[in-house]
Amino acid sequence: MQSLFGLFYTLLFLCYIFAAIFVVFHILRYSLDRKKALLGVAFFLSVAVILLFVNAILFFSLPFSELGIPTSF
Amino acid sequence: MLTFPGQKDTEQVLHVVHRHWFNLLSHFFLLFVIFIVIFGGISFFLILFPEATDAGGKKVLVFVQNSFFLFMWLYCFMLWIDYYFDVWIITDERILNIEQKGLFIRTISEVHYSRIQDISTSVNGIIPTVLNFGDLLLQTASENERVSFRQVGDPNGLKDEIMRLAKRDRLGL
Repeated sequence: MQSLFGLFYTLLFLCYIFAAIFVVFHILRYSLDRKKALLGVAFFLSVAVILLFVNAILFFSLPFSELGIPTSF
Repeated sequence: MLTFPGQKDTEQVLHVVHRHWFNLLSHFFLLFVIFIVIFGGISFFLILFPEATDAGGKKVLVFVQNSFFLFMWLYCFMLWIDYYFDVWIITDERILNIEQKGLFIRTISEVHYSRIQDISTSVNGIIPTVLNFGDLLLQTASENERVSFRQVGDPNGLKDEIMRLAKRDRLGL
């Protein structure tokens, strides 16, 4: 069961990463002002990377056994 | 200095027009309401079931909150991209209409001043009237070719400016 949660979380995490990559791509590729684009990317990434990192840490610290979720089938 | 791909050497960017800020604000307001409902729901849940804040439950709640923040952060930027890259570039030679829909649909069209036949504007509703924003429609010589400026600020001022540029183009100035 825990591995199933792990699989779902991996998929969700990959979706987050792809969404972040597409956001960065659009800002850098289509912005008319290079300086503003770099500022925008720096602002976006500074928060997104922290949130992604904390999210992964929080997931791996979830006490599955305490929550009554069996750790194996 | 603003430049765009495909710009001619002698071409000058005169205006870059985005949708009115109220349009973005209305999207963010909806997101803010969802944010309040979800966090209000979590707080209400904790009042009803205080035992949920036990060690395990608290970790799950923090994880859910963090995931929600992350989702909101990404979604806010996607909204912003949809707003910011939906743009009309007015140069001294033509008008470029760049339409961004979400992350994966992007259409670019252009109209030369010589092809413009008719311009109309519409401001509908109380808030658009007060904040002075609305739609501007350009009809070109081709029947099927239209450029619409959606929810832009000061559409009448913009119309005057485009008419001035079209007139200048016609006179060959």
